[in-house]
Amino acid sequence: MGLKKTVKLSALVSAVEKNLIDIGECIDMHQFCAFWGAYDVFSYFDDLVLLVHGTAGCTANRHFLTSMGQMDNCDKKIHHTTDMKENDIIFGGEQKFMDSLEEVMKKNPDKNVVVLTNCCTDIIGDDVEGCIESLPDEDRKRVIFMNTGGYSGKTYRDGTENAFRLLAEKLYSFGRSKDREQKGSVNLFTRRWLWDPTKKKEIDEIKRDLGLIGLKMNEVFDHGFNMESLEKMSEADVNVSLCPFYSRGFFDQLRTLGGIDYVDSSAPIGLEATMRWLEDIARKLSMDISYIYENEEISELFRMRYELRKKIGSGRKCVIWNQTGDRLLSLVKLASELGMEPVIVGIELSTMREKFHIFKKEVCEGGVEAAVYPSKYIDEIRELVNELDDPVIFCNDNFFSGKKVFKYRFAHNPVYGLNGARSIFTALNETLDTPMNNYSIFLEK
Amino acid sequence: MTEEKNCLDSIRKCGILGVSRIAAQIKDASVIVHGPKGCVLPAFEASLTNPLSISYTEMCRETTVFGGEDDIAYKIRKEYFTNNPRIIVLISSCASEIIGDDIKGIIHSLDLDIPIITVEGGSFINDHISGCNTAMERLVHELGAPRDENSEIVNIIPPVEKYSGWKDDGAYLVKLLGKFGISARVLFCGVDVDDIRKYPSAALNVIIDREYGSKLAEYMNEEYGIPYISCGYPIGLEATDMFISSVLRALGRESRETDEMRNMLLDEVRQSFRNGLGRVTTFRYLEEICDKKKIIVGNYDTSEAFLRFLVKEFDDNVETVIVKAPKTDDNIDLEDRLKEISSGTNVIFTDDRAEIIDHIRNNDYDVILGSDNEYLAAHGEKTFAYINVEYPWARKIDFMPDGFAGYEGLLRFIEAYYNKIADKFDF
Repeated sequence: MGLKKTVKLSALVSAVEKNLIDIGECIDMHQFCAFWGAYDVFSYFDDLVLLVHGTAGCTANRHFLTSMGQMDNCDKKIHHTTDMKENDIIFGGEQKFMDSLEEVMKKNPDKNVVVLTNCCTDIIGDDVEGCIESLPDEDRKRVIFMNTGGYSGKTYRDGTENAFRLLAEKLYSFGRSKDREQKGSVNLFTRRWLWDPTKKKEIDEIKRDLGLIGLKMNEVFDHGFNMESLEKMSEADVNVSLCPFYSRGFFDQLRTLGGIDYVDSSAPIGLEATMRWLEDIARKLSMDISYIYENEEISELFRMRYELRKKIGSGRKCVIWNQTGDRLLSLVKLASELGMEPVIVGIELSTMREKFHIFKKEVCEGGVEAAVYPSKYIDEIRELVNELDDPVIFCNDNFFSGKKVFKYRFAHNPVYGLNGARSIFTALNETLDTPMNNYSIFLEK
Repeated sequence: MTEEKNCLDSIRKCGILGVSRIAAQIKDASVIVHGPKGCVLPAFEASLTNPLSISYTEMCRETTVFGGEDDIAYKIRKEYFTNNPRIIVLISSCASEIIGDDIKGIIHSLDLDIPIITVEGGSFINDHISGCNTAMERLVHELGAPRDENSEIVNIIPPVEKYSGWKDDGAYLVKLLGKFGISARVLFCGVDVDDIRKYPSAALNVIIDREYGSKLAEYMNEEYGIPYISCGYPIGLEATDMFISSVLRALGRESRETDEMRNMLLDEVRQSFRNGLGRVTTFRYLEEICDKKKIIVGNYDTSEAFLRFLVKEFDDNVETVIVKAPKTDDNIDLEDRLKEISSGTNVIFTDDRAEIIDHIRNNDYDVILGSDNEYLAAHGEKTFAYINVEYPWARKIDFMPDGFAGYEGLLRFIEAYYNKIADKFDF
């Protein structure tokens, strides 16, 4: 019954593109309004200080990662708000904004100030841009302004992309030349919201993998970034990203303004994707890296994958329940790479719509395919799983008694590059070899 | 008064969080945020610790210009037919408050058979604490049934989600009052709609944290004639004993027997403490702990309770207390009260997160009683012991009761305090 209800991923993507499905918004903790997106991007910079012209709640609410137990650097930073009250909403808050801006600039003489607005300011029509224009030249140059009221309907992605565009424009106001000599260097964008130990390992691994094809890292866009590093980004030959959703606005702008191309292949998760990722980077730089297939480490990984494929068996179903987006598609590709037939469950169509450029590239243009079982309800998904013949399940939680559940948490473990592939293969191998324990405290029946 | 400031890094989240926290205490409640996508986050945050069904009206530029009343009706109906809630709490945001949608008119026109309560969540009207207070008052206002004047029940109004132990504290205080023959209940703590209807049938309302419940208690006093008292948060021997005696006095039930019972309970907890220390107390690290540099960061009642216990009852000392509230002329007497408890303690009032972080970073404390925010501020190379006494508390998990109020809670606190410090330092 369950499998009869599946649709092809390509058909679903096509239907979303043609607006054939009535899609309601979802609550996705990663995808809030434009204010959040811009706030996230600017928070990466140690030499920028944020001033939000609006009510205090939006700024205080942004410190929510602590409530989830995460040690995010953005959460530790100090940000400011003009703390608008009812009176300011009625009579306007421009004077309050100017006083606050002056105070922030005075307290942070060595930093530039990013001014963001929230719904209140935008709706009542405070002329924030005009206020900034009225500043003396010296002060005005220190201010980056972005209008980010969430009511505008602009999404998190709009917020990030617009913030990156502003930064890219700033980059090229430094007067960098577009004509550069190729030096074999790469800028890297990390994925968002990672625990630092994992992120450091991932950056080190990407550096190592790039080193295998003779490239070196130029700058890494990461927490603790600054305007000097931003300026140095213009020296790279190509941009690569571990999060195509997050970095796209900046990449587009760097290509338009500075002629630095970017690699838009999906994240290097698994051996196949990592090799393709390295080849795509090399292709952008007109390099021939066919020799890396003779590399002993890579040969060993191919052997490891071959053994794993044998153990899994051909055509076994792989049920994938993960966050809709790049990671989901990476897991679909990983399942296919390992000879399995992917079945996606719990897909969130509003998130697909939000991240549509990724789905279009991978599914419509890249040929990634899977069956999609559209339910998000655990009982229905269990019913589907029970109907399948000994599937492998990629899911963070163990809802499936007696089944092979691969609980490899992608936020806690290195997943990218060659070492990431090795870790995933090893962990999956262990999952297949380990009998299910019905006394596991993590089992949810 | 502190230096006049034009801007701050506020510790106060918006009213949507406070209202959602109350809604999350009602079984089968749904929250609908009438606002844009970003405004759902506080409701999502409330659902981290308690299950809550959340949706929102997807407010956008068009809605802001032309009004979002149709979207409200659509979302309420959708929530009603999809999730079958027993109650819907509709929370307005800054944007919907400014444009002035006629939310009540829409609700009346829907004619559904469940209560739909509207509460203002916009940050320029409510923060996360006043939002909580407004929601409590509004729910009783809308749902409360006529008072049964013969009821002898005592309502304890809890500081919902103030810290991880608030529910256990409530349960313990009910049990404690039961020893004196008093029947009590904790409001807005895992209740259903019918429980809320019965709230006005009570003999007394007891506020145990000055930030939470005054609005509700005053409303119930005016509307139903229910008297109320406000006690300090019952952490420590004196505060717990004061809680009991205040309730007894308000009910007119003080007697020689209740005095004896109070003294017996105090003796019992002291005895348990001494037994726990063991026969040879010389080797306990009480003196060494006393030498450590400590800070308490919390709201006023939390700060006062722990300061009083540590300094007056545990022969300890505290270097600094930061009260998470703006310093105003109204707070001067509160500062004096803290100074009366411990004249050597540095007292700071601030609602600026930046000021708290700066202070902690610039002063090497050995022991921090506060929230995960203070933990993160101090986190670095220096060793320190951290005892969570405020939201957020996501760095720990608790399966067993973990409240610090009352006599049982006090022993739990001493265990946590002593063990965490002893584990961190090489005495």
